[in-house]
Formats: sequence, C-alpha cells, structure tokens
Amino acid sequence: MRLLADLPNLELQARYMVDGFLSGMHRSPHKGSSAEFAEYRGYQQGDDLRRIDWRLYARSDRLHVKQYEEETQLRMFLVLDHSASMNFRSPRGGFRKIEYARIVLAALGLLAQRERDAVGFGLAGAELTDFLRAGSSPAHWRSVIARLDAIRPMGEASVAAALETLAELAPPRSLIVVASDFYEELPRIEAALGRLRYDHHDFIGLHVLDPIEIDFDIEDSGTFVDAETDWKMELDAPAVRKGYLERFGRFCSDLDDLFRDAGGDMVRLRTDHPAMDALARYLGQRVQRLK
Amino acid sequence: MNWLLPGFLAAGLLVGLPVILHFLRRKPKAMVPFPSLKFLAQSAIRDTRKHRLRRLLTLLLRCLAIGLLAAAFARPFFADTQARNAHIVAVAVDNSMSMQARGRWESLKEWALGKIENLGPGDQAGIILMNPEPKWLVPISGNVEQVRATLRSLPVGYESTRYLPALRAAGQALASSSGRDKTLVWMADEQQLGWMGARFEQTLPPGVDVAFPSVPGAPGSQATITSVRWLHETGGPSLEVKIRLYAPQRQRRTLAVWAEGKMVTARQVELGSASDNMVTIPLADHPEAMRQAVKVSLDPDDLPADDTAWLAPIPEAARTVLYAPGTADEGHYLEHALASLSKVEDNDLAAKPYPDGDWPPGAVAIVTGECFAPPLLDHLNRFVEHGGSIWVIADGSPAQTRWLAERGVKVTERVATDESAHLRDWDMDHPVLSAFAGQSLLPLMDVEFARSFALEGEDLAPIANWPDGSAGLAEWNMHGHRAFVSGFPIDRAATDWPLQPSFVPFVHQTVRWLEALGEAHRDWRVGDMIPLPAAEGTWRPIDSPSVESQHKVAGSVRADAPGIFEFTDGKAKWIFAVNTPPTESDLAPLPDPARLSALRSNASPDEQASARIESRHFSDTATEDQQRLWWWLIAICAAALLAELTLSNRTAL
Repeated sequence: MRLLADLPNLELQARYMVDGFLSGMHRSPHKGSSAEFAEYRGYQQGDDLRRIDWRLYARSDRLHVKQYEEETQLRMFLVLDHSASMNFRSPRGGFRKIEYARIVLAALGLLAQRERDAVGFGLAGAELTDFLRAGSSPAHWRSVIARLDAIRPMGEASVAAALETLAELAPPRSLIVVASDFYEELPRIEAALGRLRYDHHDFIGLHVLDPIEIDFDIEDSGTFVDAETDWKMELDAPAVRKGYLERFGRFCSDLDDLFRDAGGDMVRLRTDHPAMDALARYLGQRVQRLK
Repeated sequence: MNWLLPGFLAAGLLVGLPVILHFLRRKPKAMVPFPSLKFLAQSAIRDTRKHRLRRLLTLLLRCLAIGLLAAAFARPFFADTQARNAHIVAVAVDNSMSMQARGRWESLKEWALGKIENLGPGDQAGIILMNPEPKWLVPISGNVEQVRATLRSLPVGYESTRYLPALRAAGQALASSSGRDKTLVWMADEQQLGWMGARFEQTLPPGVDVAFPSVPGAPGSQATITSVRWLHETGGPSLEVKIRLYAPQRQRRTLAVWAEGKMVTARQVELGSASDNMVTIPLADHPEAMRQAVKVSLDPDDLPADDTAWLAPIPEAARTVLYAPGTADEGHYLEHALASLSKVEDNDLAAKPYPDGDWPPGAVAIVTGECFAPPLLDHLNRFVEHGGSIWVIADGSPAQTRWLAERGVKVTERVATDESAHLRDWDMDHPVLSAFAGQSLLPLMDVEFARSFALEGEDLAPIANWPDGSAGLAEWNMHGHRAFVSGFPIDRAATDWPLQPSFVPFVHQTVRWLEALGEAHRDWRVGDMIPLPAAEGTWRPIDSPSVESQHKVAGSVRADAPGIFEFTDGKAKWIFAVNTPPTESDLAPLPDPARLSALRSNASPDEQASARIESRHFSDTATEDQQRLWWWLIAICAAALLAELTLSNRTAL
C-alpha cells in the first residue's frame, strides 16, 4: 500500500495494481482477437514489438504501432463520488478516500481496456457533473485517467441523482461501477439502483471507507466537524463509540441489502487495505455477462 | 476532629495527581474532522454528557480514596477537649486495719470528700484501694458523683498496709490521663510499717500533684493479742495468750475468754510496753472449751479491731495417727513404733487403727498397700480431698503406683544388686530429721535397703536420695497440703531400719511433723489464702465483725476479715479461726512526715510541660485506639476504590 501511494501518477498506480492482481491469477486475461484499424501512434517503451508497423517504419524511418478499434464485449462506466466527505483521510488511512477510489477505478479501467472492454466515466456531484462515453482504446483510457486525476472533492454530492442520469445516457446492459461512501438517503439510492436495473444495467458499488469510519477508534474528544455539511458536535469519542458502531453497522448492512436486492454487487473497501477484491468482482461480473 | 499523626495528612496532596492526570490525558482537541456525523445523533451528545459525568465521578472517587487513605494513616479521633482541661483526681484509700483506729477513718474520709467536693462537670475522679494490692474500685471517669457515693459508703478493712504499689499505680494512671490538673488524694494514716522499704527519691511522674492529710499521732492506748494457743499441761488445758502493748507506760487491762458466746473467764493483766506479754489462762474447769470456738478479748482501746482473737475448736480426731494394724511386718514394726509415742513426755499423739467409716480430717494417716484397694481407697481419697495429712509408704503395688502416678508422683522399683543400698544426701534441716540434728549421721547412713523405689515428681522435695541420685525420702506438696513419701517398704525383707535405734525417733518425728502442719494451718491471718476441698461448698462467718455474708467457694478462700468461719460441703464441716495481721497493730506513724513531700515531682516547668504533652499524646493514643476511626476510613476507601473500578471500566468503553 505504501509503494502504491508513492507512485507518481494515477496511470502507474493503476498499472501497478492491475499487474499485481494479474500476476496473482497466473493466467492471461486476453481472449480472442478481432480488430479494426483505428490509428497509429508512436512506439512507447513497453509496447509489444509484434504490433510495430514495419512497413511504415520502412517508409518513415520511425517506429509506430497500430491501434485498432477492437470489438467491444463489455461497456463499463466508472462513477466517482466527489463529495467533500471523500476528501477524508485519518492517520491510519493510507490514502484519502477519493485518492483510493481514483486508483481503484483507474485500475478497473486498465483491466477493462486490456480485456478489450469499453470504459466510460461519470462524475457524481450534485448530479452527474461529467460524462465520457465508453471507449476501448488506450487513448480513451488515458482520457478517463486524466479526468479522474483532475477531480477535486467539494461540497455535497448525490450519487443517486448521478446514477439516474447515467442510466439514461449509458447504453443498455452496461456495467456501472460506482465508488462512493454513499452518505445520502438510502431510499434515493434504492430508487437509482431500481432505475439501473430497469435499464438492464449491472452495477457494482465500491463502498470506500477510511478505517476510522469502520472502527471508530478515536481517543480524542472535542468538536467533531462534518466534512460535507460543516455541522459541528461537541463529543467525547470513547463515550459515543458504541452508539456510532451500532448505527454505522446498521447502515452498511442496509446498503449491502439494497445492492443485493437490486441485483447488484457491493464491495467494502478500506483505504488501508489493497483493493484486489474490487478487481476480482469486476472479472466475476464479466464472466457472468459473457456466458 | 484531631489527628494522632498529622504528618500523614500531607500525603493528601497526592489528590492533585489524579486531577493533573485527568486534565492532561483528556485534553480535548479543538476540532476533529469527520466524514459524516449522520451516525452520531443526539444520543451521542447525551452519551458524551453522561460519560463526562462518570469521568468526573471517577476523578472524585480517586481523590476521595487518596484523601481517605491519607486521613486513615493520620489516625483521626475526636478528642474530648473538655477532658483536656479537666481536673483529674485519684483518691487512694488506705483500707488497712490501722484506719480503724478511733476517729481516723471518718476524719480522713471527710478530708478526701472535701478534696473532690469542688469537682465540676468535665472533671474526672476515681478511687483506688491500696490493700492487699492496688485495685481500682471506681476507675477514673467523669462520674464524680459515683466516686463520692462510693467513698461515703466504703467500709474500712482489716488488711495490712502496703503503700508503694498503690502510689505507683495511681501515679501512672494519672500521668497517662489527659487533663490540666492531676491530683492524687492520699487518704492514709501514714503508718510507718506501710512505708517500709520506700525510696522517697523516686518521685511521682511529672505533672501529678499529691495531697497528703495531716499525719495522725500515735494513739494513747493500743495493745493487740498477737497469738492464742492451747497448752496441754498435766493439770489440764490452758490458753496461752500473747499480748503486745504499744504504749510507753505499763497498762492494766482486762482479758476475757468466751466460748460459744458465753464468757468463760476474765482476769486483769498487767502489760509491759514494747514486748510480748505472755498470759496463761488455765481452763481445767472448762475442758469442753477445747472442742468449741474460743474468743479472747481485751477491753477496747484506740484500735478495737485487734483487741479480739479467735481460736478454732480442736477436732475430735486431732492428734491421732491412723495406721493399718496387721500381721505383716510393716504393720507390726510401725504399730510398735507408734505405740511408743505414749511413752514420750509432752506428747499427746495417739495411734489408732483405721476406723470403719470416713477417716477424721484432722488426723495423720500412714497409708500402706491395703489402703489402695476398696473400701479403704474411698476413705483415703475423701481424707486427702479434705486436706488430711498422709505418709505414703511405697511398696510397688500396681494400685498404689497408679494412685501416686495420677497425682504426679512416679514410683519405680530400683534394680536389686548384691550389695544393699544406703540412703545419702540427707537434708538435716528438715523437721522430720530434727531428732538427729547435731548428731552423727551414721545411724541413718548405716541403714541397709534390699528393696527400694525411686521417687520422681515435680511436687516432691527430696529429704534423702539413693546412690543413683533418685529420691528415697521426700516431702510431697499435694495441692497445698503436705504429705510424706518413703521409697521403701517397712519390713525385714526390704530393710533393717526397723531394727535400728534410729527408726522409732524417725517415725515419731515424721508423724509429729505431719500433725504439726495441720495445727499450724489452723492459725490463719487476714490476707491468707485458706486451702479448701476442691468440691464447692459454703463459706460463712459464725462470729466476725465482718458484714460479709455466706457465699459459695471451692478450692480456696481468701480471709478478708477476722473471726470464726465455717466451710461445709454438705457432708462435713470445718471451722477456721482468722485473726488480724499482727504487724498492722503498730500504729506508729512515719517519723518524718516532711519526707512525703519529696514524693512530689521536682521536675522543672519545662519538664512538666513536656510531660503534659507526653501524657496528652498518650491519652490521645488511647482515645484513638478506642475509637478506631481509621478502620472506617479504610473501609470507605475500599468502597470508593471498588466504585471507581466499576465506573472507570464503564468509562473506558
């Protein structure tokens, strides 16, 4: 986790995570090939030598690799909650929640891209504040990375509203992966998930949490400040821990039920633990879809 | 609230420690950012308030526990401040017979009452009796009225005077009590004999004052009957009365003899001063008086208490030696030796065989083998229980050996050798050997013993030993009664002593000594412990100036007053004559009364102040020890710690 955090940019972080995940699986994810030429791009270190267009090299004396508009088997939309509460990081947490969510989504995007799946993007603010159609080219993935990288958490967000909008924009039978802390009214989320289900979308919820939100092992007392609403409360942490854990546990359980009942999947991620689970769930969904 | 060790209260400052730790550890952060407070509802605020209250309570309990612990170590007590400023008076009462001298008791009692008359509320007083040993009749307390009432109704006694133990006991009691002024009121006639052996340089403790009354002068007329005894003369019985006159001039007094409440005779006697006047009163016309309790009295003088003496009746069986006649050698030799008693001049001992019934307690019994089997064994046991004097002749029979072992005397037969044994280590000072005093020991040391028994026991005092060091003849102290044990049978097979010229004198002296012991025990004095049978019985005065009524006693009784007393256990009765202690009749006062003032402490004011502080501390210690508040503080502290433990566990959630 420490090494991941030290990597300089989101792309490398995503590659590191995916490579680590795949090496653990001991088998190649590549299956089949069908390609329609899309464009050339300059050779970069690491590109497969077999994909160099030698004829073009003979003509131009420059190395180019061919890029193909591959036939997409799956469209996946990555949705990120950029509310202020996602900007939280406790001393025990390895990342801010939004940083962690960004890496996980980028890794998922990379994995999808390697599987020749199309990857789209949506940003959940007060509503769906940004949208990028699904594409499977590396360049498209890079633009997803760029958008993820540019996000700054602020204010309140409504994941439910963003999902409802996304349900209309995304092609049917897409896979929606939403990373959020889901701090909003559960009935609204339930309605949004119903809408996704209605449009035959599959969805995976990534419940990104800081360890302190899960364990509430805070020794300090003082004025607690809500990151989104700026609401303040004079509290004694040890005194309220029991009540908090009860209510928070009930919330997580309700959230799990909500996704399961709607036919989706829910993965709870701690920012101090690796997110391999999320990638495994994606592959699981993909296999299910291709059956 | 007062503290015995106030230094420990400084430890109470440690309460600051939990307070500091509380505020250091629980310093709240100004702002704690948190993703969402939606899971911390109003109940969280309620929990917080409750938690803060618990923590505060925990802190208070910790402080309380430390405070209580410090307080417990400081030993708190509630001091009686009134008592600290009190005037404390101890009245030491001389209850000896000399205080019965005309007017002394009443005047000294009035003087002592005057000393405690002005005591007010908060003051304390007590009464200590001087004789026979110091005894607090009323311990020092605030109940002064009880002290006054007790002193007013206190009867005078017949004891001998001993001043010093009471002086020290009262002084110590006053020194250890907490009060501003402490006074010892010395209600005594300062009899010279009472101060005998006193070291006047040993003063009372500092801070204790003593008030002495004016010393009464020597009485003008004082005589006492020091002893009375029967004389057995050929002309008939007579009474020998010894009278001491404590007056510079000769006096003529009247001496009367009473028997059974009737005056038998009276006569004028001329008494010389400063010596015993021996008066012999022939009572040949009244031989029955010997069998009655006799009272001898002088006409009353300044101390009437010692003008009367009593003499117990001589029991029928007194001067009788009981033995077992028989055909055996033992009985034969003894019978002859005892029969020869009648041929000795100035002897009234008569030897008789054991009677069929109980043996008379006043007799001397020579117990041999047959006495340890029924029915004689029952008579022997009752005889011994009632204080009869016995001579046990060891013969090695199992019954006798067992009987002696039960009473602490072990009898072991010595190994027979070819050569006869001889007794040695003779205690020539012992009365049984008085016939041989100043003469050669050869007649005793030549006696040969073919059969002998070693005597062992803690209550045995050897008179002669066997060659191996074990006792062969011994005096036996049998629960206060004397007995005699010989470690050999008196027969020809065992010894040749019956054939030796020393045998008869030895037998005579032994039975006379045993008989004399009984006689001597009939002259009891006030203060003596009179041995009685172990079985409970009734002790009652028959003729006594004492107001004492009858009461139950067992084993022994202390003679508190003169007179004739009767003890009965329901089967038999014994008459005891108790007379006044002769030394107490000397009323001569301390020649230099000014020496009494030396008993006051000569400590400097500083030393007296120091002693006052010390006594206050001593008193505080006693008060604290009585109240034991520290125990309660420790208990509360433990409860507080328990509560703290419970609360701190809950606040740690």
